[in-house]
Amino acid sequence: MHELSLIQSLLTIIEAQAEKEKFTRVNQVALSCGRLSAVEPSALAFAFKTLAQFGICADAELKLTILPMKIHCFTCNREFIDEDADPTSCPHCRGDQVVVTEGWQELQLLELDVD
Amino acid sequence: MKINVVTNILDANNRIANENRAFFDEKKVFVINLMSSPGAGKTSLVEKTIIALRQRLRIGVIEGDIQDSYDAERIAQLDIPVVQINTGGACHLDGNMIKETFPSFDFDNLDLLITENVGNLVCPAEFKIGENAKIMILSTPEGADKPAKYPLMFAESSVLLINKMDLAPYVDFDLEKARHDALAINPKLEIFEISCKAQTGLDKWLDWLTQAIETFRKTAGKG
Ligand SMILES: Nc1nc2c(ncn2[C@@H]2O[C@H](COP(=O)(O)OP(=O)(O)O)[C@@H](O)[C@H]2O)c(=O)[nH]1
Ligand SMILES: [Mg+2]
Ligand SMILES: [Zn+2]
Repeated sequence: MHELSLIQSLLTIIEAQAEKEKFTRVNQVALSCGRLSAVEPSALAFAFKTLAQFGICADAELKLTILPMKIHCFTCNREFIDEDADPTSCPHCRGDQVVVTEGWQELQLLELDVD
Repeated sequence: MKINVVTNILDANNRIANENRAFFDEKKVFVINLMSSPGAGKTSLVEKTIIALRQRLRIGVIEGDIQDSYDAERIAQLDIPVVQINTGGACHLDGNMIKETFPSFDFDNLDLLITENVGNLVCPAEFKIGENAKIMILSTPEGADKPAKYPLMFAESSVLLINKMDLAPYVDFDLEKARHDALAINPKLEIFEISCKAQTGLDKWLDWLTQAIETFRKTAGKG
């Protein structure tokens, strides 16, 4: 639900960049966030389409990279990277002595492709 | 042309939250950000906390819950300074909304500011407001699968209060699973089982809170 406010912030950042770097058209916006952050990709895409339609990002493609979560399993004593698993058990041995070590990264703007 | 612009989208909010926090520190006000689904018991907990601690601490409340417009009135009945934030339908409180309430409080005469966030298990977890601690409530009728389904709030919180323990037997709440999953996500989480209705388990929460405030005052230079 808060994807609209995230996209609003994103567009503000891009507009400031456009003024500084003197570009007038954005082709692609590359973003990343952790799998466990509260960002819903389809809601983000929808918010972008809605809010960007009249600005310099009107024709831009949104590219979101989702960073995997990492789980440490105390049963097999290994670190697992798994994109779909339940974060509360080991995707490999199903052991439940686990701890989530990564996957919370906040939404980041990485790169802009501009003209 | 590609340009590299690595920027955190939440930076603008984080900056305001940090400014709020610096202001609260200077005023020696401990701030909690209370989060849960609608109806889990946030306002009930605020009421119980006020009643238990009002002799010892000067408390103020910010009500951000759009689900129930009576919340601020419930708190005002306790004769406590309270400000209702109108989020305009937003799903969370952010740093700026908190900042806008500043003129409404006398922070020199406040020890604890309790912020009741919008009833929502997802979005509030992403927006800092300048709090010292995030406190979340999970109520037993919601089920024990919530940590696995909505991990971010469990990861961000310092304390998890499992409320409505009086209903646990009727709703088949799997307490062990809830505890286990929450701790897998956040091993540092303090978990207390409470019932605002039956008034059980609240002592441990109140001890945690008063202890945290005491520690804060020492480190913030107020002895
Ligand atoms: N059975 C039971 N009901 C509770 C408990 N705590 C709160 N409630 C009830 O749950 C409902 C929602 O509580 P409220 O504090 O308004 O939740 P909020 O929306 O999170 O602020 C109210 O009808 C409360 O009386 C509890 O421990 N046990
Ligand atoms: Mg409420
Ligand atoms: Zn394993």
